[in-house]
Amino acid sequence: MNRLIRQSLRIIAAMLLVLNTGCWSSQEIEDLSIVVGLGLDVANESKFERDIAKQGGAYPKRNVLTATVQIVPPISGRGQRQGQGQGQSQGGSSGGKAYLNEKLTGDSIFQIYRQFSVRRDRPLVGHHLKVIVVASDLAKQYSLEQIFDFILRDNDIRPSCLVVVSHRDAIEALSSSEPGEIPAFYLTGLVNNRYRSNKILPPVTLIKLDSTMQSGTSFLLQNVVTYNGEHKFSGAAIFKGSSKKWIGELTQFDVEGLSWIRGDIHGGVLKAYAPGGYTVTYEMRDSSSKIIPKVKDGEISFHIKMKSEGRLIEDWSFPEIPSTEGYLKEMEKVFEKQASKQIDQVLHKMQHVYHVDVGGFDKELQIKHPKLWKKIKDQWDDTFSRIPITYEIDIKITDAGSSTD
Amino acid sequence: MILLWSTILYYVPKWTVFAQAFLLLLIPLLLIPMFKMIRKSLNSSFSLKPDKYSPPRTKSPLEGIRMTGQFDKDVKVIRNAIGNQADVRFREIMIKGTKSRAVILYVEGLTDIDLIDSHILRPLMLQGVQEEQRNSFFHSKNIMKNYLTEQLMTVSELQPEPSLKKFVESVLFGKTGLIVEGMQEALIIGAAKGKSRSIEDPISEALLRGPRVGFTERLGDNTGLLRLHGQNESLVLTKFEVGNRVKKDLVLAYMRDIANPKLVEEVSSRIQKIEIDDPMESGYIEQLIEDNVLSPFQQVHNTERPDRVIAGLLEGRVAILLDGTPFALILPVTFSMLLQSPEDYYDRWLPGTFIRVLRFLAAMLALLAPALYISFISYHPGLIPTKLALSITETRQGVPFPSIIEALIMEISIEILREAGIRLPKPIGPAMGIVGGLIIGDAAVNAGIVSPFLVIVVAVTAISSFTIPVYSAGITLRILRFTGMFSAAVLGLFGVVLFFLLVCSHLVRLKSFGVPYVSPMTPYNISEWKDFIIRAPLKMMKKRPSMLKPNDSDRRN
Amino acid sequence: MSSSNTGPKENISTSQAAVMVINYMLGAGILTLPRTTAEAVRTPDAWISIIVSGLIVLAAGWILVSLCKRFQGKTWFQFVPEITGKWIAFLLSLLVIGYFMIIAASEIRILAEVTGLFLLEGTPIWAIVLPFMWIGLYLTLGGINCIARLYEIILPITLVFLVLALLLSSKIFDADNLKPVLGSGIMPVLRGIKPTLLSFTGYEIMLVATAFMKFPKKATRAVITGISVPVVIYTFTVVMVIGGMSINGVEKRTWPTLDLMRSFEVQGLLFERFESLLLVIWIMQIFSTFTVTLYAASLGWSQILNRKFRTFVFALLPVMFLIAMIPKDVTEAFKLGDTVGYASVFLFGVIPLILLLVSLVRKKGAKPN
Repeated sequence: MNRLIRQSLRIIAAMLLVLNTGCWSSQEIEDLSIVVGLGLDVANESKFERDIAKQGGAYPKRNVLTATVQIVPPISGRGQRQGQGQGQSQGGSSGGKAYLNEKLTGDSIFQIYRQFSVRRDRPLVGHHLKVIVVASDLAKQYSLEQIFDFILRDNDIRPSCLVVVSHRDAIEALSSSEPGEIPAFYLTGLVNNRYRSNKILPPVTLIKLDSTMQSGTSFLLQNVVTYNGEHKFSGAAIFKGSSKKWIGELTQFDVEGLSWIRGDIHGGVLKAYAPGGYTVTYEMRDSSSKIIPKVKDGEISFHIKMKSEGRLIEDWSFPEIPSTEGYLKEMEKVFEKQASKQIDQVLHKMQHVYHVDVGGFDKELQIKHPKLWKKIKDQWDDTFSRIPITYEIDIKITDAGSSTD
Repeated sequence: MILLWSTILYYVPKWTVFAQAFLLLLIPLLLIPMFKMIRKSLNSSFSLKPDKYSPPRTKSPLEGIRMTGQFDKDVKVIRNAIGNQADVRFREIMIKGTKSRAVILYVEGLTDIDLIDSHILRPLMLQGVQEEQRNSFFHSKNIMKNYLTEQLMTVSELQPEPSLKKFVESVLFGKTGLIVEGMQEALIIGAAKGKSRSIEDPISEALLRGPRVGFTERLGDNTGLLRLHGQNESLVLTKFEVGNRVKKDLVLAYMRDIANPKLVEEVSSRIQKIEIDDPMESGYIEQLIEDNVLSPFQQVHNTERPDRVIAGLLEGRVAILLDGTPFALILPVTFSMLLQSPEDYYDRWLPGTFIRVLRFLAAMLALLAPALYISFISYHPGLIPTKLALSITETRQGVPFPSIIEALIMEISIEILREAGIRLPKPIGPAMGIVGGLIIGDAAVNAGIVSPFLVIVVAVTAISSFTIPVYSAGITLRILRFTGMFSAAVLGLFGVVLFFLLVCSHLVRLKSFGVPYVSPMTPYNISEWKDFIIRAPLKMMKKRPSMLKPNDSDRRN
Repeated sequence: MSSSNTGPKENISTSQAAVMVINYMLGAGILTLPRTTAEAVRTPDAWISIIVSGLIVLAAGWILVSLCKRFQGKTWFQFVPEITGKWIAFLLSLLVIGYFMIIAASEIRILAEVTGLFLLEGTPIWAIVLPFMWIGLYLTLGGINCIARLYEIILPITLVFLVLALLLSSKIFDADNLKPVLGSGIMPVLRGIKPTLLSFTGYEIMLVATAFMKFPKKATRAVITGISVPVVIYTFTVVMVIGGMSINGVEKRTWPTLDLMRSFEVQGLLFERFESLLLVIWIMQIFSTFTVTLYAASLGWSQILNRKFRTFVFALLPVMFLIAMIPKDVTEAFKLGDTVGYASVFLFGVIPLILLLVSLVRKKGAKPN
């Protein structure tokens, strides 16, 4: 029995040795700063950084970009004092805010990331990063491949993170004047409104961005415009496939036209003016499109067939015109004309202003004529701007809403 | 050549790796002999060496002494043997019509006084021997006995006993003894009538629907309940005597044409190996015959419900009933039984299935919920929904402990509360629950010791573990839950998976009386799954479980 | 040779044999297969490669089992001497044992790498691997029956979780990513066969398992089920991964299936993020692959050296650990896995065929029927 006790004591000692060394990677959730938004701007050192540098707190770097991280929740009590002490949140002091913005400047995003850990007691974790905002100015200078290299390699940041472009500074897009609102969540929430408006692009997540960049085609990112702590999705930023740099923007009107071509409308509005000069509005319920590539003697052309069903939802005619079948047919023509206007404009911009294909024509050609595609894929954007595109559009008003007159 | 050598050297791991490899081998090599030793020492202390008792038992002074027929001498010997037992009464009388003295011995409180008064004293003292027969008494000594048993005493249970030792034992056990002058045999009259409960609904296994019958402390009642269940010729009740100092009756019950004879043989041989002074309760028997002493899982099922026992017997299992306890044992046990309740079969199959699925879910929760909480909070904040992460972060502000300590505080207090609730008198119990559950929980949150989210987790876990229909299985889950929490605290979600794999590995290695513990789950057998997580309609369950290798596998017979 | 098995001869049912093959096949491949195929194929036709190589493996499995069925109740290590003579058989058995050991080692290493990357950043490898191997040891000591039973427990969990997670990924599934079908002809598909074959190692466990089957005649059925299920699952996985991330996105990702799970969030659905599900089942699958190879290797040693089985289970643990630690980084670990994978094509594709022919010619072994 004595031997048994001695032996078991020895084993327990060994077990404790093992257990004591345990808990290597344990990190309590409240000791972390949860980053939900990341903004990337052209370098703009803050007063804090210049001050610190004066005190000798600088490290060798070039000022390439300024990264803003949005941390939630701004820790109440202890955390709040800390946040105000360093007073970096640009969107005003953190009183009443549900988030905390901090920014640092440097030339390596990862280094900037780690630089935060000499500033904050809670290390940043990127697991919950929801949105990355890139300022258009930065994207003009650097390729997205360079900017996103770290973000795509990192194993914390999820590929489900949304990517948008801000017309002005990214930090503005990550600020909000409304108390209690977290801008990062606000931006991701807007994407869900696609069933209400066809002015919103399908969301581009990191993984989609990565695969699009790998394939070398030109692409669009959702554009955000800001004013004084309020923001709005408006239009789209165009990125050239070869350079992955920002080359221009599409307006809301263009994006609507594009949504016709792509045929992925989940809901939206088409407003037109009837021959009588009054406003009529059409609500799309459903739409589809088919891009048909045609190859004849090596000459490529595209034909787009678009179809939509919906209802007449608003009619300012005065005196009231009853919604008879004939009237609805007439209105269908009006709406088709208006849609054509949008489509014409976006096609013009794609082919003749920016010389890029962001309408998904390449994919169709690749699927239907893979051999031809292989030959021309390297100079596709140039080829595309010379290709004739025809289209037909068919709008069908299925009902006139709850009231028929 | 040098190049090759340097490449090899480059790939040879560092010495630390060798040390780790050594540790990898060493720890199991140490652990296995330890378990072996524990097992061996456990086995040697009971059962396996039946001929070695630690203190030699003293022989009774009455051993081998028979009644002499000399009244004064016999009574004196008996008085000496019984000693100063305060509760043994001697009532001396004279049988009417003869000059024979007689003495009635009984134990106060155990004996039916009415029976003695009206059926022994009255006929002996008032009626006695009729005058016309008196003469014959002087010729033969046996006539007295025959007359008493055949004509005088109006009791059904009556037995002559020549051995003094057995006579004294019977009297002490609660029977009434009668010694008559001149007779060489004493008479033992009636049966012990100890106090026993009436048949009640068992407290530990409450059912909404089903017979309101539970076993009592008397073996006779219990076997009777089994017989009463329905007319059934194949029910066999074999009697064993267990206990070396205090002897108790034990009944092994099985269905003659269903139960596998090998199983019955194995169980009876294990019962016969039991060596213990007094098997107090069937729990003693359970622990002395189970396969794996070190396993946290019970390998014998205990129940208070006769219907459950019968259901088990009909599946081909074997039951053990012990005198003095309302808990019967059913064996072998399989994992699925722990989560089944007789009610599943009494209700229609859809509700039965629903409740069973619910129980599996609850068992999983009870086992893993706190472990998952710890691993997500301390290791993987990235694997929980963002909004949840945010609210947890907010509520955990100011909690001074890591999640494992926090969870341990709450879990241990819950366990203490539960234990206290059982011990407390009934009127105080609920009040205690309210104080403990509501006030302490609320105060702990307000004081910032634990986060409200954890309180929810702990509460859900506790409630889930109450759904387990077998109390002892619930305790198993509670023990394992703590192991799970520790493994989560050391290795996060990976630790939880390892813990789950360890529990599963243990379960697949465990056997209860030769039947694999995880039986209906594996090997895959669709017809067995009809009574596992789901409870198929009765009309579909035509077969008895094949894992028990029943003689008669058709349920319709 | 009966001394190598403790207690009475163990039996496994037909379904258990099939489940062993399934669990062995579904290993590290779940996470990496989409990338290795996409790299080789470079067109969205990767899934066709999987099906084609699945068919090849089915044929190989059938050959292997036909060989085993000729020697009922005997494992590879016991029956090869009857065909080839002692010394060649010894060599062949050593090769197979070495193969099992290296497979176990590389699975452990990949487990350590992935766990270290996504679950336990900063925890030393040994702390991840040691408890894992101990539990594997505990299970393996229970013998083939316990192993089979455990597999039967974890297989339904794996299938349900995996299919659930993959179905949820249909949120980002885009059928256009899978088009055009055979756009660049059949050549890319053929190029993809080689890497996919590596992921289908696992049927070779029948070399050992057939000997324990209750009805060895049904071994063919077991191996065919055992191979078809992983083929279906792998095909489904690759289709969902490529459909969700497009061929260009898959190529550059080290752990594409995991990244697919990380590429979407389903808000309001309790978990929101589903990589935890995938990781959980994946760890279980690695566990099953590890235990079965540990078992096979130990059984092999014990049968060719005629010693106790338990000794070798213990002895192989540190050896496997050391082998697992030899690769300096994850790329080398992959390379190690690939190398043994190629060896397996030779070992379990070509050699059984030769042996089968030899045994037919020399009339060794019994006819299966």
